Amino acid sequence: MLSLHHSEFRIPNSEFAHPKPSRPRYSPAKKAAVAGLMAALTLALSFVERMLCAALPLPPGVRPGLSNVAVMFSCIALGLPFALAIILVKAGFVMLVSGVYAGIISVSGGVLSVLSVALLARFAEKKLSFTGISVVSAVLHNFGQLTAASLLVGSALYLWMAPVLLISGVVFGAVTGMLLNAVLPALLKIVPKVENFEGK
Amino acid sequence: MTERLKLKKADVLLICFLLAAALALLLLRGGGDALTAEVTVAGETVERIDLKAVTSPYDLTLENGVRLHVEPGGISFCYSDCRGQDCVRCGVLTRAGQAAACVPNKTLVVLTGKPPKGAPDAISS
Amino acid sequence: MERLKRVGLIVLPLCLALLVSACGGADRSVSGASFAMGSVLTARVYTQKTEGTPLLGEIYAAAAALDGKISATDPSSEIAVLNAEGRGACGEDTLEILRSSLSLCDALNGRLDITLGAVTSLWGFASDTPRLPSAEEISAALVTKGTRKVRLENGAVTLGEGQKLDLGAVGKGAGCDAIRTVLDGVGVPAVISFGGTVLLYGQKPGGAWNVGVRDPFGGQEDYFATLSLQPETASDALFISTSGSYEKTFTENGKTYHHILNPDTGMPADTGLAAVTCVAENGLTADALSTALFVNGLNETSLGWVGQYLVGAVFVFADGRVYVTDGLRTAFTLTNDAFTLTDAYD
Repeated sequence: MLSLHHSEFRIPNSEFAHPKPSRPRYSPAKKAAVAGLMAALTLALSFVERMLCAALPLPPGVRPGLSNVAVMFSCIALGLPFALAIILVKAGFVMLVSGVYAGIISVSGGVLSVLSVALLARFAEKKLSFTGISVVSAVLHNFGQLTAASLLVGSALYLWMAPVLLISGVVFGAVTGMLLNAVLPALLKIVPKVENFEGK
Repeated sequence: MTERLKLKKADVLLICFLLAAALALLLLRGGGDALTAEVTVAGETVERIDLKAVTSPYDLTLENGVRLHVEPGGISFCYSDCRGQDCVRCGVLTRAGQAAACVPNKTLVVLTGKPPKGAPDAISS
Repeated sequence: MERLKRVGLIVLPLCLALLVSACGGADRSVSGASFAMGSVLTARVYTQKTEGTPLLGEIYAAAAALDGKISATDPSSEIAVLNAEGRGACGEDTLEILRSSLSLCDALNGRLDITLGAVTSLWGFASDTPRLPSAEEISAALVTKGTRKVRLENGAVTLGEGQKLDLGAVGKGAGCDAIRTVLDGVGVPAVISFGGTVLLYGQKPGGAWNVGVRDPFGGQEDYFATLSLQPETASDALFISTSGSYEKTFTENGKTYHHILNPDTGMPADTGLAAVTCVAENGLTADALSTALFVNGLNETSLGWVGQYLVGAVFVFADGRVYVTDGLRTAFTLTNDAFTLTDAYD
């Protein structure tokens, strides 16, 4: 029988959740393995996103944030520390491709975004669905990046972009949130032995 | 398994609030119908170009080696020695509120809707 | 309570946005450009698009209408007909311009002369092929000038024998006056530049108007100083006009000729000045004085005229010295140190 541990992060009220959701504790090894998978998924999504950006006429600074799907799931399923690690991996990747500064910007956005997911998932689970959390995390991701870029460039003028980033954060945040809803079953398959999430 | 878009009341409120905030910021920013490109390097404004007054395209090379391409109603990064080339890949900025930056070179180009500050309202000639 | 919260969350930012746009909308303006009297007319009106765009249209229309009446090049204009026939009927607007101009010509010792049309057409500055007329041609044409020969009665104007009017020195100023009338009807702050003659209407939101003074030795957008000006009330206006030897020039046999003629000699005026800028409360006056002062040079008489007709004037000598009259000393700021301020006038 599954022991009912009260785990740190609970999945917000969704159809997949049992009225009293709880997850079995995984072994650290298992978690690390899943985290590795999630990191790979994040990078893959990030790559796809880059190609998407090149193909579509998007204004500068606006990102679909596809990798956020994996990051959010990791934060909720695996916990904040692992999510942060994944953020670092992604930032490292960005650093290799685009340089140190780009990496710093990526980390800023990612950390802020993940923190918000963690906080919201814990405290606002009854009120917000994945979509809402995703919107907030996307907006904060953009602002984290914008602030870091402003500091690095040395000019507050960058904040002129704020309205655009707010709107794109809302739009793409909603999109990724709905994406997460859609792919959740597939993702949950990666974390088996979580019988609570099947059926209902 | 059925997929449902689980939009809650709070979600909708949140989205409305954020969009309204964006609207407020846009209105705050003001709608001038001039088009000025403000180029800053390390926080210091080095160029203010009235893009509406540009009659023929030209290239502007900054002290840090970054080259900007200025054309009537638009400006873009055309060369930079940075790694990621995010700035160059941004393309041409043509509307107020757009911005592009080369972070390694600390160069930022922002388009505003206000006429270049310090420029006279008119020149008597 | 729940309902209230929900409504509040949406309404509050919207209210804030509206509030901010209401008081922070000071920078809102509409600008545009058009063409009249052979020059570019640019206008910026400080109001939102719904009011501003039709207002711009009215401004362009006013300039075009006046152009239609006083244009030297449009053969159907009242002035053109007058010049061709020696007499013609003129509307009240044109008559008013003629009356004011003629009285200024007399008051300014003939340094301004709108009856020099026969001489200026010899030079052909308005055409694509200006030329240096011979001395005989000029003296023959000079005979036709004279304000006394112009008769204004009952809406009709009669000119002297062979006489032609040239309103080039006052046309843009008169155009600005017409535009000022349009603005009086609407009452929004505006800045107009009509071929280099500037109209400042009302009080610019956020500070005084900033007008550049053209650098006579530089390009079209170069200015060597600025004038910080602010009309006294929202319905007052200031007009700035500059006359200089840098406009409409041509070179023949190594000598450069400019278009501001000395009415006595029919040759380009040469008093050591490169440009004169005048600030007045009336457009035609500013335009007229800038020409007259350029022709007269900087001397006691000129300064007397400045005191009588203008807010102030800036005289720029060919050697880079600049003389600013008292009325503009506080408003004037030199921005190019290749020029030097002087108190002396010779």
